[in-house]
Amino acid sequence: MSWALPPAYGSGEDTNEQPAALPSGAQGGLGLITLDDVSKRYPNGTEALRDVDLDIGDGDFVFLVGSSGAGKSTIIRLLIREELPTTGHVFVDGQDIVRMRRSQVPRLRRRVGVVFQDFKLLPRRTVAENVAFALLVTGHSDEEAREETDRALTLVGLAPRRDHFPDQLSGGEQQRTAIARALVSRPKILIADEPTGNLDPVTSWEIIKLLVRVNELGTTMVMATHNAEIVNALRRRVVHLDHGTVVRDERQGLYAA
Amino acid sequence: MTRLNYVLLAAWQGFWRNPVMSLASTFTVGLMLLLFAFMLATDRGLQAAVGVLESKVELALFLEDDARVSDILALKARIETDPAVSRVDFVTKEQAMQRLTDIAATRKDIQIVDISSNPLPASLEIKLAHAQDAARVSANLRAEVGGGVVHEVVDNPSVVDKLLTVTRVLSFGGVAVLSMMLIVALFVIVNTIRIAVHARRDEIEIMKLVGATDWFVRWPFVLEGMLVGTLGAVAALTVVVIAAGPVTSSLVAFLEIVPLSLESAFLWQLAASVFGLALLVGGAGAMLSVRAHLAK
Repeated sequence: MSWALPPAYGSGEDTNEQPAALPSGAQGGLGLITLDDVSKRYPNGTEALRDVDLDIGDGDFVFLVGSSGAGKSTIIRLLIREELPTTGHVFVDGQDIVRMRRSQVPRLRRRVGVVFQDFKLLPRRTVAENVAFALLVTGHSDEEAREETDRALTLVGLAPRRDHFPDQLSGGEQQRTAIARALVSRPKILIADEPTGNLDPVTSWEIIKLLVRVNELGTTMVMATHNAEIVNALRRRVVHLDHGTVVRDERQGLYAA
Repeated sequence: MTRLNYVLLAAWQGFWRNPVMSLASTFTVGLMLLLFAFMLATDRGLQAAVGVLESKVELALFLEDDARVSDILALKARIETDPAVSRVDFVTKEQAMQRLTDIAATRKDIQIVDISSNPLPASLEIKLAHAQDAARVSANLRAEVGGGVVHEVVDNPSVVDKLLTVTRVLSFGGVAVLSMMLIVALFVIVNTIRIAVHARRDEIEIMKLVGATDWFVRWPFVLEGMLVGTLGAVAALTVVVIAAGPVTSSLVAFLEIVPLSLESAFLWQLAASVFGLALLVGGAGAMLSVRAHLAK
């Protein structure tokens, strides 16, 4: 392993899963992710976020809930710096990503894995190639890519399907492939935007169990979801957004108050 | 190595993903480069022609019949000190007559009927190093007329003037046409690459998502643009090599005196220039196209 990323999963070293400092506004960058007084207004005038303070600790598992348009996706886009806040600061892993130079953005994204509702797999590449792609296009050698791909595919339980193409896979398997791709660069944070939105209940549960396991191995999880059943069953931290503001933040929350 | 492989493979696949568009832009670029090569060769030929004609430019001083030889030689020495003058020859009345007789011997339309007297003046023939100095030198010499030695100054650099004008017009027109072709080629490449980018937009989205640098995203497209340019250059140079022989010989036959030579040193220079322009246009067109996409 020649690149300097801390082993975020599988090593067992990361035992300091400190319980999140509970919502108390900006903690001055104590957490792994901090939103400090963040507002976001899109050019079309939509006010997506208003004065949001959020602190997420290393190893947390956080659900973002709220109706469509409440601001969940905007927070996710801010975290991978696809959007910049209109005002306020966003810290990820100790770095002010609002002030970050454009050339630094790729490094940020290698530390933050993302999974989407629609998987975003490349149809003409096999499962293994889709996963290895994330490493090959960020300058890793074939050998590193092969090693890490094997590891990630084993973690998500897809090693036997490695040479299949996406259209030969079930929805759950496709999402596992996407998760393996997000994890292959050993990110500290895994962000999931409605990861079970396209899946049936049984498959959804399998994906959630996988994400819980990934979290237990040390990766911080931020998941936007509409799936009340899952949120209520897991009893993890719930951040409830409504019209761009945080209206509820509970350590072992339910989908609805 | 892996990076390079990825980038090269992606560029190659990109080119063949839409072969009609790629070949159309290759053809356009090739045409533009052919024009460029033709311009370089023409410019080269015209410069050679100007050079040859310049070396032939002469001023002649017709001398008084009663001028003393010592005065003539003194004048000759004085003219030779001018740096614009490359050579001065003294032609006597007898030599002048001999020349006329020689010319008459080869041409039926000239007949010398009376050789009892020699009406031709002796002269000083002046060769100039550069045609553009002709006016100044002849003006200086006109001051000698009436001094007992020089009877008349005869100059005729108008051929060179005309040739210089032709060269100027041709190169101006050539640059204008070439600029237009360049813009067309650039436009076609920008569009070709835009289509290539569009075909791979999902891949680009994922690349950006997993943290590939902008350059990593750009390189395959820039190389694809350069590939279009290179293939266009190969096509243009193939035409040049095939056409060089016949064109040269017909031009030489047409212009007679002009040594329009496409010798190998010049051909290498030409090839290097054509390839250079091809890579520049291909790469720049692709950059313009990809930059617009990545800025989003």
